Amino acid sequence: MFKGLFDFKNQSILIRWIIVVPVLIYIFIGLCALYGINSTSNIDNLLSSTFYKQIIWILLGAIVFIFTQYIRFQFLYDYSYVFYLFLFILIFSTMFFPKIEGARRWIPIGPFYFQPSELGKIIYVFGIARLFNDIKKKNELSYFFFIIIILSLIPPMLVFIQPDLGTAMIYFSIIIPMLFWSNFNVKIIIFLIAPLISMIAVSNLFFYYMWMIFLIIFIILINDKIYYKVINFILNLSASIISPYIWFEILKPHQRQRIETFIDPFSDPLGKGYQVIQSIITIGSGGLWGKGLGNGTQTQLRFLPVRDTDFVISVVSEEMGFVTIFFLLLVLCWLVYWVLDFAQRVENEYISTVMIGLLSIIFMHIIINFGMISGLLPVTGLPVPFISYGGSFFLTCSIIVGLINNIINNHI
Amino acid sequence: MSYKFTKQSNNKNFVFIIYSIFILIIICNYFNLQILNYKKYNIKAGNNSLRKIVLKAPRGIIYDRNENPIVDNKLIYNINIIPKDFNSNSFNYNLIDRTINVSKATVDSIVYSNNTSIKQFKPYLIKSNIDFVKKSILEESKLDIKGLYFTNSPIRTYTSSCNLAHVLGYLRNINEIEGYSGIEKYYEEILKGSDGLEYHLVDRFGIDQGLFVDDNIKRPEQGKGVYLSIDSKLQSFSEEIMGDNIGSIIVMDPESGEILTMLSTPTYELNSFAGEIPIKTWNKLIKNKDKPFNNRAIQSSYPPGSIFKLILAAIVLDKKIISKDWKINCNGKYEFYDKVFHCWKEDGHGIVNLNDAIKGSCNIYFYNLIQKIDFDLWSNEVLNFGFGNTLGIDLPSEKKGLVPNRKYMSQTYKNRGGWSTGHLLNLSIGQGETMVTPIQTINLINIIANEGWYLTPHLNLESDNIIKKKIDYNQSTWGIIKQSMYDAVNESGGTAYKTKIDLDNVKVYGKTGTAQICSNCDLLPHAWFGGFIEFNQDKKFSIVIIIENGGKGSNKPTIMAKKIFKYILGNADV
Repeated sequence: MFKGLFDFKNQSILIRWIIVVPVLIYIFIGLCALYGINSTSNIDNLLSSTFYKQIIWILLGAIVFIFTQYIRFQFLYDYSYVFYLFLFILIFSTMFFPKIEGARRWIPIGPFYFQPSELGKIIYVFGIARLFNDIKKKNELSYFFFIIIILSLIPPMLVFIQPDLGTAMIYFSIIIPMLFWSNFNVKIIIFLIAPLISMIAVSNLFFYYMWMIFLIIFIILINDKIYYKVINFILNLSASIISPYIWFEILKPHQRQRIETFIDPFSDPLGKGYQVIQSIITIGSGGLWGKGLGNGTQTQLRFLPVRDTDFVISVVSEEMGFVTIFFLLLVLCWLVYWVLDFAQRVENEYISTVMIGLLSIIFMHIIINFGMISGLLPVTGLPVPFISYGGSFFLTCSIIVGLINNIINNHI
Repeated sequence: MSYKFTKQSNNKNFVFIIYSIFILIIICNYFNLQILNYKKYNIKAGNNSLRKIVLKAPRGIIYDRNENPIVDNKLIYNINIIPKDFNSNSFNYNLIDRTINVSKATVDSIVYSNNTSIKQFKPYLIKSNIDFVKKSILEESKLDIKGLYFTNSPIRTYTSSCNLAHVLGYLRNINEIEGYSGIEKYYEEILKGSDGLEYHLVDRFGIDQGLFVDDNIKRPEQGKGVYLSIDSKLQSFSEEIMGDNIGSIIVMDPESGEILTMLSTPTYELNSFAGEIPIKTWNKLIKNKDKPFNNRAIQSSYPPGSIFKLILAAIVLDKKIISKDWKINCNGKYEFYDKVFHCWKEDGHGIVNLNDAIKGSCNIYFYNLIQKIDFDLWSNEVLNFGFGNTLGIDLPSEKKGLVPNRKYMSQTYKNRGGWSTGHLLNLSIGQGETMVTPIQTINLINIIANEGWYLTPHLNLESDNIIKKKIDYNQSTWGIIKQSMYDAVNESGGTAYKTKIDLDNVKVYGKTGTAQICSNCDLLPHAWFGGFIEFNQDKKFSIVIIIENGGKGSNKPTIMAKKIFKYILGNADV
């Protein structure tokens, strides 16, 4: 089945430094943070420290990067739906394996645990890019459009009930930019987002009334068919009705609590809010220049939880200061700009959409992580690409960058 | 694969702007946290991870006049247990039981009730106030008692043979350990020194991660020493002489105002206050009706008895109301209107002049004298002698005593038919309303010894609060008074004859007092002796002794005074 995935005849590998250098900067900052975390540890443990382990993962990542240069996109395009179905089966099958730490996200293979939703992010991008690309009517709503949307919502829903809120958020968050990029009418996209806003707004009646008034005015003013307006209104209304049901019946208590403490972390400072509060204190106390590597009291004295994975940016903030955070975000801006620039120039719309999906995975990971550790978003346990310690996620990110590099080389 | 060319050219910019807005929001949030609120979170982080450790400064040492330390510091130890480091299999319960008397059950209950994830890292007190010896025993077998940790705190130790409890005072832990009475309280500012401060890094389990190096570290500075005028040897000799009697002894150098000895009985053991005082001891002390915490030398006022005759004599001589040869006939009784006043000597003293009247302490003579002067003149002069007010000794809670005047008498007797000259007759011999403290009494002796002046009595040799006061009487007045006091000691028939010391170059002066505390009751009167010794031409020491319910002033206190004078002469270097 995988015959034709690779094309090793393509001899020359061109590394697009304009894309790779930002990634290397992230890797470097990540190593600095891990070095700072491990610098005060026992010297005997240094070789088994996350710092040295991460170096090994980086080397593996480089090999994976090289391999991705030989991937044939024609093959991926052809088998998009097959892979998509395969992904669906894999994620679905996790439900039949035992719970680990309260969640069913993994499939045990021998001594290893395989998390299909991890590599699945990439397959998902290829799958929905194909779905969006196969719709030809992009200016009006059709039944076919709704089927497409429901199909693309199935994997994130399955991930959500595993439960893995963080990964589900990533799946959800890349749908909109990809829809937009595959030239769907902006009006349609807005009406797609509107029910989501209705769901959230219903948590506060005042905001809900304000939003509904705005929505009704918008629906009346917009120049469109009457049945289309009615459907939209009903869609929004039903979204706001099922929202409480989701909140009380589907969401797990720990997920509810996470959202509650996100809204006011200081309401439960020693319980669920503890991590966020400590993280905010850690970030704030770093100041402009930081406390220096290995000198962060919050980090070194373990006030900061999971300091080398989910909260590694807090470590960066504390020990390297706002300047480094600012620099990292500028670098992200640079990366976004150039990937978009190349995506614009890709002649094939499918591949161009894939590129946006891949970029969005990286981008959303960074934004959601930066946001959640600083109190802007609920804490969901999401690593930062290239900075957080962790093997499989690092490899996933390497594949993504490798694919982007491949696209730039072969499809412009 | 089908190729299409339908991309809108503004797609790229639109997505870039949206994504840039996301990035901008994140930057603003971090800017807000790290730049605008940096101070707030930095303080929070500091509070999170820094533990302030106060390093107690050792208190200053208290020395006696010969620079022998009387009060010093030593360390006592507290034993804590950290459940995390504790191992019940290898722990030597026996050793703990034997040395510090803590049972296996106690240790286990502390360990197992605090064995949860976070609690187990913290130290828990299992025994406080262990001395150095016991600590050494435990430290020798450190491996058997893994999990135990020592902390220390300085306490007072009393290194002299004298007790001196009331002068030195003790410490109490109110908000911090501070002087609660005596010199410890009065010179708290000098003695306490300044505490040091250091910060330790503490992780989220509360485990000490070592010293936080910072400019704010302050070394503790020991308090300055206080050099007392007390002679510890004379003090302990006097304490021995006093024995079980209740009362007070003060010995002073009249010319310098320095107090060489000050004691008050019953007393208490200062060493029992070092560290934690056992509740039994404490209750016993505060329930004692003899009030051992009371420093009788400055806080108890008594009727002065016959010693007060000296003041009246000095006033009338100086105001030239009588001459020293003015005589009366004492037949033991003095009829005043419808009331009869008695002399202490029932047969009477016969014909007495001033000298005889002081020597023999004739009451009748002074009954006559008091009627010759204005009451207010007497009151004012007595106040001049330092009575009725605090003298300003460097100890806390000095009492004023009481000197009645016309206004006071009118008020007191308003509802009791008013007062009359008859009440004054009692005042003339140191009975009645007048109340004096022993320190005021010795001040009177100092004035006579110095012939008209005194310095504020004080205990600290470096005291800067010493005032000289003068009572501007004729030289001859003091001569007559001193001669009478000399005769009271040295001539047979003198009330203080038992104090006589028959040595060349040594002159002893004295006056006894027998202060009635009630009429027609079984309680013995308080026995007073006040006097001074002159030897080697210029050396003088004054003394006042009061023994509560000690009977006649001419007995116990005179004998005690002689012993103390002899001790002084035998150790003339004091």
